[in-house]
Amino acid sequence: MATVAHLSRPQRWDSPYDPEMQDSDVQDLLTRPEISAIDAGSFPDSLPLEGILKNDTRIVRFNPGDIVVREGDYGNSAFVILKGKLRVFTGDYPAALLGRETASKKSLFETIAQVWTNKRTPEVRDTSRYGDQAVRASKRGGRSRRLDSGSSVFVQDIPVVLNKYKTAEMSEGALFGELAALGRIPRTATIFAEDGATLLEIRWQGLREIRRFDDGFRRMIDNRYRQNALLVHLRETELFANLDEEALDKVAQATLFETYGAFDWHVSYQKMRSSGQSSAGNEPPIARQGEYVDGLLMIRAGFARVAREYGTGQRTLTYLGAGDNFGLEELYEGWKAGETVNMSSSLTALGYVDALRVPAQVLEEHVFPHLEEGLIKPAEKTERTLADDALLEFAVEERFINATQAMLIDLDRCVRCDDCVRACASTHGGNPRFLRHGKTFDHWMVTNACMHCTDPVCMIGCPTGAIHRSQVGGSVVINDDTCIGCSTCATSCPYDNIRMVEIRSADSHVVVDPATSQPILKATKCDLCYTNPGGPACVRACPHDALNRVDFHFDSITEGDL
Amino acid sequence: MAASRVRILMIVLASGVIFDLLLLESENINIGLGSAAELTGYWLFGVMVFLTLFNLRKKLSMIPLGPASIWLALHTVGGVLALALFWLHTGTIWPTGIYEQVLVVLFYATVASGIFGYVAQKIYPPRLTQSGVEVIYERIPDHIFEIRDEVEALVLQCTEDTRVDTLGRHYLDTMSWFFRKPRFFLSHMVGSQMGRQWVRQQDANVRRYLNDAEAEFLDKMTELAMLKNGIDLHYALQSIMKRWLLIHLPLTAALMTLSVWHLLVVNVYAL
Amino acid sequence: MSNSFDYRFDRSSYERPNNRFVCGRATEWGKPCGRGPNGDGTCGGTAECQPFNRNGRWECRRAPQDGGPCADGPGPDGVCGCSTPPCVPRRSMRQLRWRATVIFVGLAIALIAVFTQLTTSGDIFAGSARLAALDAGDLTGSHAGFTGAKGCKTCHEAHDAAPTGWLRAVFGKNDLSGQCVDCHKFGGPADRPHNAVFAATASNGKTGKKTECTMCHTEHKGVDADISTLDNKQCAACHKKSFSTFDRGHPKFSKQFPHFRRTSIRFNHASHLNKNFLKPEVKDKAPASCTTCHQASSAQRSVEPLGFEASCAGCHDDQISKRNLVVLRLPEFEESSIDKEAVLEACGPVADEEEEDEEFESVSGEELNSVGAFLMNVESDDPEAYSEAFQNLLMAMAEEGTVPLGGLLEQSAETANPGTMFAGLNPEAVKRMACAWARNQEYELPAEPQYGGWYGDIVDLIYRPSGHADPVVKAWLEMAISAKSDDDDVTERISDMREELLSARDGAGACVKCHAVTQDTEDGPLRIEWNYHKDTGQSYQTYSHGQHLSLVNPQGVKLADPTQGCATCHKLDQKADFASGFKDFNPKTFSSNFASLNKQACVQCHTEGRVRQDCQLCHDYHKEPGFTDRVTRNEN
Repeated sequence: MATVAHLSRPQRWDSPYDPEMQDSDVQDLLTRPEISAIDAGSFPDSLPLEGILKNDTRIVRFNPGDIVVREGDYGNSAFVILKGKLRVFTGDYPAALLGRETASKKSLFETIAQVWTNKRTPEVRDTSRYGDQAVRASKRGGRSRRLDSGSSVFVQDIPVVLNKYKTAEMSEGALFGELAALGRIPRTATIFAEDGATLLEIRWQGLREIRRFDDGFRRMIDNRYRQNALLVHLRETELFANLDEEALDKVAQATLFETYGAFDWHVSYQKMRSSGQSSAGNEPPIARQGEYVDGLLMIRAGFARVAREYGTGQRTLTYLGAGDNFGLEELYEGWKAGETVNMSSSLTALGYVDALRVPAQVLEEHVFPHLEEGLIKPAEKTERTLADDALLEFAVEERFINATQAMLIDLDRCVRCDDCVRACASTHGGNPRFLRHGKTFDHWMVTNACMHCTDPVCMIGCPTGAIHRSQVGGSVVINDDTCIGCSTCATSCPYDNIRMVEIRSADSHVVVDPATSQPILKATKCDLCYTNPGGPACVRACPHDALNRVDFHFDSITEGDL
Repeated sequence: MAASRVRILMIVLASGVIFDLLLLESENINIGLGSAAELTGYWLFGVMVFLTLFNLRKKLSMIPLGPASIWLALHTVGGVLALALFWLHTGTIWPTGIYEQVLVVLFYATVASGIFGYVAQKIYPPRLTQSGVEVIYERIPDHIFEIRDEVEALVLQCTEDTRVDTLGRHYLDTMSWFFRKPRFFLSHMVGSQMGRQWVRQQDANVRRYLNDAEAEFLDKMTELAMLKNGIDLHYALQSIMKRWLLIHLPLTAALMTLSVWHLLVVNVYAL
Repeated sequence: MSNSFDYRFDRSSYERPNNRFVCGRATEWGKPCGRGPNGDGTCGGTAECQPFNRNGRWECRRAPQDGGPCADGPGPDGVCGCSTPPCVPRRSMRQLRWRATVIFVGLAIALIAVFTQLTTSGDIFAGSARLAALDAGDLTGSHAGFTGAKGCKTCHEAHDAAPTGWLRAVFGKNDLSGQCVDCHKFGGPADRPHNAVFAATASNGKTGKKTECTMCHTEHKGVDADISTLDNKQCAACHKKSFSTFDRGHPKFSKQFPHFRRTSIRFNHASHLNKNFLKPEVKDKAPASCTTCHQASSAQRSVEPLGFEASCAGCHDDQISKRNLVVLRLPEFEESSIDKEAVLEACGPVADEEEEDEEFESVSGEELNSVGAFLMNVESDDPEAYSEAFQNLLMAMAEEGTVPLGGLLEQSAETANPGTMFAGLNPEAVKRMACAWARNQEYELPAEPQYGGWYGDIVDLIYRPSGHADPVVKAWLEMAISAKSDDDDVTERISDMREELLSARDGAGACVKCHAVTQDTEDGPLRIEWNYHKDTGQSYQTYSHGQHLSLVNPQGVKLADPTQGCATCHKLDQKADFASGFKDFNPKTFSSNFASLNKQACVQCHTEGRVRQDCQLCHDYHKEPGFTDRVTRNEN
């Protein structure tokens, strides 16, 4: 290649959350009690608190009625109320209030135009979009002081709403949204501004840094989680549906908050696999088979393996994810029979588990007496052979249980025609976003295409937040404009589903950083065709029904199905 | 019943209905001293045009035009319908007239190649899975090169370690042929195990002259040879599953050209 | 084993199946380079990296999936040390497929174009041009022979036309059937069913529809193809009573088949076969079998009887001359106005002279006959009316012989021909007879006539028929049949005359005893059926008696044997009242001697697995097919 295109490589804070954030704003913030409680000294020089405040936060104003966060949205930021009052819905409310924002799908004409606009040259980018200041032209991210969600839905007639629906007030100094930002889970509540309010929005990279370096902040966050999220979670649980406020409160008070494994589990997992070890012996134990059942374990986040001793090994019965219980059947049967029971199986953490433990006493006192008959069914005893369970073992071992959209190819049907890859390329400007290889089990292949995990570890560590969950559907997507090609996500992905590509300019030359002569890389992966009408193109392109996007938890994978 | 089976059944039923209706109607027309060939001819042409749309659909996969599996079912059953309509239209298996005979040869060749492709695509994929190997077709040269590289390094190492060149000579004389490129194409195509047998036999051929140290190297070489045999199987079957279209599509194009001309001529001379 | 291949993102990059080129080294089973061919088809992997100059030193920048930075690094001039000679990238399979498709289509079009040109000159049925792209198959031998000069254009007008002509032909209708009638012609319009325009009835709505030759006859099916044999189903296109075969479902023959009207000759088969032929006096004359009278061996549909001479004369010949035709009868006169002087002058003297002034006494006591009354246009029973006319006639006849008779005839019947009707009448005899009657004397024949002919007898002018088909009697009967008048009296006289002449019992010549008098339409003219009536109503039905004879052997069986011979199919109906059919002039009211034919007889052989039973065996479609002058003049 004789000539190359040149572009400055952007740094992480070259794309600040709000470019108009001034030093004066930062100084104002530092005077506030919530911020001054943070020990600025515990931050390193390369990452000063002021820097975080300047680049990873922004100040946003809301008009009365504006909806700040919507329940179910995937959010990457937390909020501190600087001024004004907000209201949070604590009971039911009509979904129409939310007016969900949709990602902009291509129009029919744009879809058809792909026929002639797709390029032959690989990975062509319009580099003028990147520019030097790296300001994203998209609607996301700070452009002005006004949060522009793009939708004009707001809560009308606030007094009526306040009367009609159960709400709670949130006032100055309140911090909220950290659960969603840190836990990579959807927003748990809908919050709107009662009167004109000013909020400090901290994107999760900033939140992470603050929590990392400041102990007090970390403890506060954790406690708040117990107080706020726990009650909501308990309320939503079917088990506690019949309880009144008082009983629920008692349960909440008694509940213990437990975590197992590491937040960054993928690092150790990858090390373990590359050294050839199986994961079975290396999983942090949560409960052991044969031990006394002292409480109900409710999984909040992460995955845990339920196993039983089998000969000299451990045989997996099932795995649990967010929302699942462990030990409930034993406790209930034991309470009914009036005797103590032991665990019939063991529970180990697959990487990272966030759990709640409700003590047995509390259950026996407050919950079981009010329970409907038949709500808790004893586990069915089915005879399954080793062969029957092999797929499950495989999925757990390879951590495919994380997947919500694993690409499963039936190798007995696949004629290796590559129509799926071509279709994927056709919806992405001529560039495929997956490779037709991957780990195989019998006649199934789990292909190297992004599985849109429940726990997307790829999102940890992205310096610019380019990788995020889209507003709709929750697929994990990468914003090409802000990706700096650091390969963190690609390295993190335990399944090798993200690939770095050299980008080219329109004249088909590789774009190169003039400073290092290294080609500019961008991270790419399957995005479930979220901007294309019709959903994933790969599934509908396979002429032999060989390709499907599956969730291992819900889809039954037996011979003849799928 | 699986959804795909129900779907195929529906399409077959629909085609059956169409064919029966046309059969009855053409009987009616014949009895009424009309020209049933006109009706069946246009329907045949229509079905053939619909069949060619499948290729277009594959090129437009970015537009949601329905699952390709339904299109394939329609294409296959439509192909059989076209054959039935063809016989209904011509009333014979072999028509008179040189032009019509060329046309019918093209038609039968297209249908035959289509049936061949369908059968191959039903039979081969399980064989590919059962080979124990999974490779991407475009990477086969890569894999073969690496295996060959490794085997040659192995042989050199053996010669160096043991100071004897028995294995090396055997490699040069016989095995290198095998590792050069994919072999036993026809045998893999018909499902025979000749490749594995050959590797086993070559292993047995040389083993009697080797001591334990050399035998270790031979074990590794045979293991790599078996791996390569699996890759050869993939090469053979995937080649066929890709290349049969090189016959089916050009034949279709020529057939459609001649059909259009036939339509024109019939309209000019007879209708 | 399948999991040992490296799927890591930095070891395995995307495969791009849409690439138009494949690395040339890969096609030769060498190691394909990581870069792959460029978009324009040149090798992309000549150099493995683009070296970077950092502070004066050149550093290798090879991508991780290709192995990362190489050990040796670039040369001092910044050229990558790991260069390889370029490969020759090969086109991908999709590209080959596209090329093959284009080539095939091009070839097809080229071949069509070339072979189309072969038809524009020369005889298309000669030599090499057999491979013409338009050849639809051989014509039948008969058609191929004459289309030589104009070739395809003989039938296909659009052949050889310019593209606009072809376009017009595509969207217009080709009139192939119109070309057929250049050579083929029929007894009716070629474009109607059965070449005839039938009256529409409730059940045959299709008669108004036009037909095309090509509906049933298609060409280009080979030299020896039979294009005129049709399928039963094609008949069923219009004849909607659908049935599978003749033996199964063909409608019953109509009730009277094949006798749709009375015979023209009143021959009662039943009475003859059962009674008359058995009389001992005619034993040697009675026919031995049906074929004695009916010549069947070469007969098709009709088996006509041999004529009177061969069939009937043996018994009936003498009956004919026994019935005389009385043309004139001397009536009773009350007085005579005949001038004796004139008579004397015309007839000459005579022996017995009557005395004058004696009272007149008519020699005849008869009435005037009906023929005479008609001729003279007078009442036959009123002497006052007829006396004068008759006596004048007598005088005229005495003077002039036959002439006045001719005159009378011409006056009363316009179409009568006196020459025929009075043929053989001797004028001298007429004079003598008239003289005798004028003298009020009977006329006496000199001798009995033997062979027939005209003679006067006592008071009658008589014609005796000489034998069968006597022309004079025939003429007189024809005249009686056809005479008509507006005058009521005359009409009455005509009917009297008819009654007398056409009486079956007493009529002249006994003609009407056997020959039926028929009125074809109501209020239409009468006619005497002199000849055997051949039924031409069913002109589309064919039957060959001759071909079936070997099966029934009419020669060798006894007459009227009900189980053999002609009686196999034609069974005598003993109970039929044959005579009643001849009591009126309507031929349609009749009872046939023979029972109707029914299918059963035919089905014995024409059935599944035995003999042909297709529609075309017994039914013709075309009416009198023939050829036009063009064919005979060989204008082609």
